[in-house]
Amino acid sequence: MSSQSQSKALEIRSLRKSYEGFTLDNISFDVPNGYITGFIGPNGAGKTTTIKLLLDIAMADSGSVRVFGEEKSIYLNNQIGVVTDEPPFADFWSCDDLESVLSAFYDRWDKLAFDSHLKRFEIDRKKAIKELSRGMKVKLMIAVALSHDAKILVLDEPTSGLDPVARDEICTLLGDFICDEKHSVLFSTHITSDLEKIADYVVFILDGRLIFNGSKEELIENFVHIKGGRDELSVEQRALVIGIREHGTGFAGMASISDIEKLPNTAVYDPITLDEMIIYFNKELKNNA
Amino acid sequence: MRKLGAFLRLELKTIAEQTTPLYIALYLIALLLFVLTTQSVWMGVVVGILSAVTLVNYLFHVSEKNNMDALYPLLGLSRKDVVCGRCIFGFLLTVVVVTIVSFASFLLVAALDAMLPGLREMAEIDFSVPYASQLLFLLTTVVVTMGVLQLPIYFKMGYSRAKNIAIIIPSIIVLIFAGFMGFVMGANSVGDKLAAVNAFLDSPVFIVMCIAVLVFAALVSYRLSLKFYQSRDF
Repeated sequence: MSSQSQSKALEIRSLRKSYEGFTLDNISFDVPNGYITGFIGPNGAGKTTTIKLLLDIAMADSGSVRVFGEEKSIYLNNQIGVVTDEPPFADFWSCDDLESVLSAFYDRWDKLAFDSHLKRFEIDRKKAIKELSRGMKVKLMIAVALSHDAKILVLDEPTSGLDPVARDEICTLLGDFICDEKHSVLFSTHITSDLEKIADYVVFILDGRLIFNGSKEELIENFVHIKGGRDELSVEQRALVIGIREHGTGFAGMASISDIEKLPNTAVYDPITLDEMIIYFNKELKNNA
Repeated sequence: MRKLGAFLRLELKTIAEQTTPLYIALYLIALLLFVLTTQSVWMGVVVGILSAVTLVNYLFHVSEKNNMDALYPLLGLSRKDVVCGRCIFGFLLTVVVVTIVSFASFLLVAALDAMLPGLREMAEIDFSVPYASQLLFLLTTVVVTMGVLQLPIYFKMGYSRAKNIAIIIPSIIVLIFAGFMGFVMGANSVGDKLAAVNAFLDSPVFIVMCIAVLVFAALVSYRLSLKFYQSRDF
């Protein structure tokens, strides 16, 4: 295994999956080792599909996945901890039941660690999973992932529907998880404010296609928010504004830094957030449809 | 082997809600009432078969309701591991439930006979060892045939979509089986028919036929289930 491969926790190449009415088209990106990679896009963009393909929950039409440089087989899934909004466990199980089931599958199951995480998260061992709040369920899945010594954590919308306190706690946990630089996180969410706090890299997909894959700073610095008055844009300039919205008094949209010179200097340029970026790319997609 | 053991444990935990002492006690009370009403060991056995089939169906129900098909790959279980493990678990569960319920029914009918002599049909049944082994063959064949026809449907469609289709199959098989047993019981009063049936059940042809049906059924069920399950996304 090369050191370059070791620096990549996951390498996803040309992943493709077609459903009726939707195609995940040729998705390729890396999840660098020791960092948090945010996976963003509007609902229906293909984030969950990509994660399912990555974990063999759905079958890809084509493409490949490597885990720490090794061709992924289902048996490498024990290196991956998965956190979803709803745990895939029988809802009447208690944490004791869950541990007795899971410990039989994981070679590196750490009973003490599981106990300590449950105490840390204040989860009652005897309580049935269905009696736990959403935030507690997410924490339980994180506890499971941390107890079988997962090297990679894949989170699929874990913070949706959680209050800001619970979301902040989870973000702190993820920060702790990667602090030894041997662990990695792929964090899919549409609550981009969480990612703005903790993500190092961002993968952005839209309508099944990869829009951006790189560092968060690179993405945010590459685009700006642009606002201007009516008739301020020529036809050529209008085409350079991504997701343009026109209203009574003017227009708003997003522009690439590389296009700024071609756009009017009378317009107002502001830094853009990840949320706004998703909105404008999505609008652009609809404008072109 | 370790993985199979772990999977069987997972499956057992998945149906744990239906195997609590309270449920088992309620089930035994229901069985007692059923046997009391019908006064027949055979009806108890039929109930046992249906119970086992219901538990296997329940397994599909719980796993679908909780999206556990998404859990299996996370535990490093391939589709093949899941299908193979569930077939083995379903078979073991069925054999265990049918054995326990048959034995319980036999005891209940025997107790009934002791308390209310002359009420039951038991006196006419010869429970010799060869007869019991013939019945075991027949029962196992019936049970596995049910599995053959039901498992692939569940693996293909999932519980919610398959339950209405799948429930028809055991009903038909149980009716055929009950009809066959009714014929044997009915033939009791006609000596030559009973002798013919007994002669067939006693013959090596019957045993070979049962084994052949079992092996064929198990292979068909497994291959179809695997084919269907491998093409599903969760």
